[in-house]
Amino acid sequence: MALDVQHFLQEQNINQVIIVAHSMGGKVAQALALLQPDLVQGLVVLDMAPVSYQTDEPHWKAVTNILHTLHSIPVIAGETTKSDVDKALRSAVPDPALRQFCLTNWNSKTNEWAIPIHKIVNELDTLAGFDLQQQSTTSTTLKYHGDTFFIYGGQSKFVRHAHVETIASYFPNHMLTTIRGAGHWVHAEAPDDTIALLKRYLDR
Amino acid sequence: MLVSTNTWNTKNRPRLLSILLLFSLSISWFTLSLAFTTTPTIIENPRRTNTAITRTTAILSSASPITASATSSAIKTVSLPFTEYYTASSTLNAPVLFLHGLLGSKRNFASLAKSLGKQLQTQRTIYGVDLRNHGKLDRIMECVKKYAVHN
Repeated sequence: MALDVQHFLQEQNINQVIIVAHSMGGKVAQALALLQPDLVQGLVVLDMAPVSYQTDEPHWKAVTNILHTLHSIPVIAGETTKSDVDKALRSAVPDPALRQFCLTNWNSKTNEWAIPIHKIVNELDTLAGFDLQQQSTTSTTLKYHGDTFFIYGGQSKFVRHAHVETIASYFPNHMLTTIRGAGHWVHAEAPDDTIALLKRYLDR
Repeated sequence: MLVSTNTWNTKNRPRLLSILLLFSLSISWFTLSLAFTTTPTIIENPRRTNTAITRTTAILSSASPITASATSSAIKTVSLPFTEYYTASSTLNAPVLFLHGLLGSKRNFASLAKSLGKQLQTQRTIYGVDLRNHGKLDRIMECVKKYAVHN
């Protein structure tokens, strides 16, 4: 996935970029910054830590449960409707806003998923991980020395105090900020605060 | 830029700040995640933690798509669909690229990215991409629109 982003930068003739990335995108961005630091001038990570999440951690388990539920809903292309899926999701995903978010991936024109849910389900373990294998034979920890800004939701558990040491080891020039009232979707739940922080970072 | 350099390189004040950080984290400890509907009211000042902690643990070597992308040329890259949400009047400053999360798409950042572009003092072009296996509806919808226009 990080290579896809690198490919995009090449296509657009972008030599250096500042990446602002949420959740899974945050992992991709952190991986790119660590593996190709010359491409990344700066990095803002929204509610994601450079760690492997375990299947028994409730916040990650919640994510995998959603994906497994989405995968288990029987879909007959062209027949199953968005409201059928919404109903089937109701017990596993009681939060209507979160259900709505999942359903942004439903194609109502053709009545089928717009994205390959099965591929994502198959990749869940690797998405949970953060295992950066070094090309070189040295065992020194990868480091990204650019200014790295972590913004996380105070109500979310994706970035926890136990992760701070790992964050510091990868990103020696980092800064952590919490938006206390926000959960995992910081930018959606606190757009004004997120913009204010991004402005402060980008205009510094 | 001079100011920013000073700000980010301050090295001697992390101790107290990290204690504050731990405190704030311990508060969040007891709150449930996935509170999707809550609205934030308080925003804290950014906390600087520049402590350089040396980590001797060797990096695990199991395969991952993230890693594989950089370590093996066998993985095929895909061209990511993108949108330019804001076009800078100059190309002096590095552009900004937004990456979405699981089950998300570039549309998640559309309005935020546009708004940010307008508000920034440093002119930056702002892009969003759909990551692999994500956001395909966008392209389908674009095709539908194009089709509708042509007919």
